[in-house]
Amino acid sequence: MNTDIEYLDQQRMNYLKWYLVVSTIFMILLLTRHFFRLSGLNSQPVGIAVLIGLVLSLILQIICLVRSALLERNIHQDPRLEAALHNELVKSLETQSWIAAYLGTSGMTLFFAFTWSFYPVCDPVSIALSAIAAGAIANRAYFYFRYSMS
Amino acid sequence: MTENPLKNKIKVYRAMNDWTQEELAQRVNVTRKTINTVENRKFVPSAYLALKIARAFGALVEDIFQIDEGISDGE
Repeated sequence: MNTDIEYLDQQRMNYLKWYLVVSTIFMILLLTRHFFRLSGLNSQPVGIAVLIGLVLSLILQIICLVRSALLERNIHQDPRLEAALHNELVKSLETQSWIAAYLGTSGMTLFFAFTWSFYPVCDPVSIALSAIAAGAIANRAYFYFRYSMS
Repeated sequence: MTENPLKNKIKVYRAMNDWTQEELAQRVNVTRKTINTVENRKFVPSAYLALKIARAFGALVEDIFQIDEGISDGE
């Protein structure tokens, strides 16, 4: 039944929406912690609160990803659902989303390059991970907003 | 943003058959959003999808889809 398809489509977008919300919070807290470390605030109560938020957002992010992966597995197992839900519109938007991923990664790298002028950012691993995370969020956000506007 | 050079009569054919976008989506086996984007010219369908839509209506693909001569394709 097509209502199954519409239901699964809606569910898929709901998981994506929550993933985006949690990932954005995670990214903000990750950057906050990064700059708190430079200021020596990570051992203070405010730094610990940020760490707790970071861990919680990471857990929620994993939950969203696991549920989303389980849904995708169910879709893959049924050729009819696979064809309907991974149709050419979805594939086209997924391809276009890589442009957003590139811009997100580049933007975050440039942000750190700019920040270097004011703070001694000397943690290449953190910069690389933040840039990759920003690219992943931009990729999914582009897909979510373009598909939602369809 | 590039204008979609492919106009269509999906809405007309849906009205003639008294189908909703969801009913057409069911017959073509895509999501309602996909039908909506094609119908509103936000997305150019592949030849395969265009043929499936035409077949669902029992019409020829050129009855449903036409090139919009008003939009230049740079030729």
